[in-house]
Amino acid sequence: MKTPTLLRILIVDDNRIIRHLLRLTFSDQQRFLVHEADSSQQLLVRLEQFTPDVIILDVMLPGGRDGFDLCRDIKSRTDLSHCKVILLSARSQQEDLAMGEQAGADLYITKPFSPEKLIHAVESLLKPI
Amino acid sequence: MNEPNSPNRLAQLRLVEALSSSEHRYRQLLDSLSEVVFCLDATDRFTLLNRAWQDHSGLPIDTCLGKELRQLMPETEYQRWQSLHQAGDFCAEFQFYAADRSLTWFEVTFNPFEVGGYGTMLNIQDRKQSKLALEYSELKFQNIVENIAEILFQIDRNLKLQFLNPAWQAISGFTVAESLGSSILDYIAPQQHAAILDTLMATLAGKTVQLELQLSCKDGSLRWVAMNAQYVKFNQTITGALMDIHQLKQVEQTLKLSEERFKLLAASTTDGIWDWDLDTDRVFYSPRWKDMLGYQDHELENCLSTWHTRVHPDDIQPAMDQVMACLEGHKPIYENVHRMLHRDGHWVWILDRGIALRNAQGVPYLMIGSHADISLLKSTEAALQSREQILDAIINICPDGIVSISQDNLIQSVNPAFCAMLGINAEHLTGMSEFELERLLEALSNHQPPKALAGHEDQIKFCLDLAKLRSHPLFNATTYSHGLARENKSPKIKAISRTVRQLKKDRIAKVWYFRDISIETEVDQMKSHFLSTAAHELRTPMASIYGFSELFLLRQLDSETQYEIIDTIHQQSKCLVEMLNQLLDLARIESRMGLDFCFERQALLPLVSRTINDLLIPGDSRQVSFNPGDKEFMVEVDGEKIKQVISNVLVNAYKYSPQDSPIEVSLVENPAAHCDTQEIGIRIVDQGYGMSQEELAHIFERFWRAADRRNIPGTGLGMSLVKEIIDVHQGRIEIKSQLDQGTSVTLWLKQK
Repeated sequence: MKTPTLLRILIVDDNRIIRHLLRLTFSDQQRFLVHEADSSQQLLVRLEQFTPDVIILDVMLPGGRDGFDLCRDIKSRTDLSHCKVILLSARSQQEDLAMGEQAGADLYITKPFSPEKLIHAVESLLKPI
Repeated sequence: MNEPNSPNRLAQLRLVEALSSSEHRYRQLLDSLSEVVFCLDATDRFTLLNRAWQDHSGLPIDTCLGKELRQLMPETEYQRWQSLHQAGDFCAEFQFYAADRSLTWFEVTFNPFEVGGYGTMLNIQDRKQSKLALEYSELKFQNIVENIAEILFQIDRNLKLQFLNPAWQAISGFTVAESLGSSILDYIAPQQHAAILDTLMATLAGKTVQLELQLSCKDGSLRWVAMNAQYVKFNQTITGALMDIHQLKQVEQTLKLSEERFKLLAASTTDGIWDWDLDTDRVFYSPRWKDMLGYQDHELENCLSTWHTRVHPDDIQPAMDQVMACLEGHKPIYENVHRMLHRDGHWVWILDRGIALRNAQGVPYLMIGSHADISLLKSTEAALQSREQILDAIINICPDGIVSISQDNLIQSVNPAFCAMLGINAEHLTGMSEFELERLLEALSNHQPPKALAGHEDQIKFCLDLAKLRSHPLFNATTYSHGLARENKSPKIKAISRTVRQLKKDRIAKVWYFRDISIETEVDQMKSHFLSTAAHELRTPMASIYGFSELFLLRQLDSETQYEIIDTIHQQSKCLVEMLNQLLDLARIESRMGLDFCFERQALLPLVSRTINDLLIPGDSRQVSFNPGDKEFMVEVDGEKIKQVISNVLVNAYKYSPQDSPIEVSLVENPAAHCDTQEIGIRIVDQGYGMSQEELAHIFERFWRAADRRNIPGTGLGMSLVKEIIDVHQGRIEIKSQLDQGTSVTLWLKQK
């Protein structure tokens, strides 16, 4: 059996407690390496620091650019072609899901979410085809 | 030989004397007679005439003596005289000429004597005239009797006809000849014999009788005649006249029948009938007429005053004016509505109509008419009127626009609210065609509703552009009303929806109903925005609670982590609760618009100090310093709500300041009072983290929170609540802040 590679997860949310929850969700240090960003600016800084495998991106971010916008941006970058983007939002309307799809998100998750399910989702996203 | 005094001479003298005195005596005798005495000689000349001749003829005696007879009478008379004279003595009537050549009748008695004769003449002029007059009179009478249309009869005591005039034949068909001698009863219908007998017998008692009877005519028919008869003692007959009243009788019958019919009609109709004899002032009122006023037939007199006295005092004069107008011929028909007093004391509305009947000279002799009880009509009219007034009032008060459209698709009426929506006066709108109005509304509208109203396009019929409205030539700023569109928030539009209601009435075919939904849509927008934002905000603490609890259950965690998790869950639950409470508060204040606020006039100072004292932050040693000053300030506020406000601000002051940073509360006055009422401010100053100017702009927004650099919990609703409450109190909030310096919040309230 192959040893699964350590997944780099970048959590982007301005809410401290949500970040804490996500961090705790991906607390298995055998499998996950968790980074945080609390704003769109910080996200960009992080992206310069490393290339994550998964970005869990809150849609409602302060600082002018929302999650959809950033998602589109990330998806258009060639250097981040392998990066998966999971949009996280409290908005669950049909329009929002559609926007997420349009923005190129790989997954759209609504709050509140089940941490277990999130882990599964991430894993299946990153399963080698 | 003849000596004067000889005895022969004396004897002669005596004889002559005796003769002359005898003659004198005879002369006197003759002259005293009223008859004329005359002598004629052989040639028919007068030889003697007495004074009477002169009296009767006017001719002096001496002129006539010696005159020929034939000169004193018409020739024809003289001829007659001569023929009679030849016969001997005679007594006959002759006419003689008088002095003025008029003729006088004399009855002459003549006796021939020797060669001439003597005679007397009696003046029978008067007699002659009377005779003539009588003859003439008889002729006249005869004429009348012969020609009169009425039958004249005479019957003896045995009722046998003694005399009949020609009219008898004309009327009965029997000739006079065949009828005379028979009993009058033969010509009268048998059933009347008894009555006739009684009547005729009554005449014998001296009465004049009148009776209508039927004559049995020759052709078998019966004709009505009116008999007038009385007893004439002179010839012991009952004399009378029979007048043919057959026609009259027939007319009578017809009239009677007509009257019967009329009475029947009057009884059966629902209208009262009246019939006013203008000569006698007697009025026939049908039973129904009287019944209308609650009376039985016998209870009211059939005269004018019955009506006159029962008409309402305010109505009688106009009614009489109308009556006179009809009688005088100014109006063909009399018509008047007036009130009449019912037996029970209430007023009955009557429609009175009538016409006047006139004789040949155009003078009215009869007036007939009808009464109709229109009380029900009147009360319906009144009810209808009041209902119309109510409806009008409702339509005029209605805040929504109502436009009624006639069958011809013309705008019949517009209510004030509609005019206010457009700012166009009613007179410009009524009479317009439906099509024109629709075009007008379209011209004033924007076809693309702005984003603020997105999602409600199907409701919006017209999206009036205020700029277009204002520049329309018919726009009237006084008429225009902002209505629901709040100009400061939605400066450009006024959205109105339209409902069309089809009606089946004659006058109005359609009604357009316009609703200004500007604010509705705005509010809808805000609500859904608010709700989605609220929901969104609530999800975040929920996410923590849900996520963390799942992790707690599924993972094996060390007790420290476990404690952390539970703590977080607890805190987030608290946050959630707080958020929910504040949301509910906000929602309530918004929906009730502060109606359930309890305003009380009270002193501000104790309220503030109580609030400060009640606010205990566990574990925080900081005290709020309160500097009230000496003055007493009275305000009219809802104490509980103001406490909430002060608490919220204080809590923020605590939360957004470092541990030992002081918080000051004071009461401040506004020296530059720019309004009539004085203000009093509650000032809370902290020396905490402050906010940037940009952040300050958002402070009252729902759920808005300054960048959470220090992980300070909060719902973002506290200040929103403060604003809502202060708004209801008609106060204002002043905030000054500088990043890392601190914040000063002043709550201004009106002093009372």
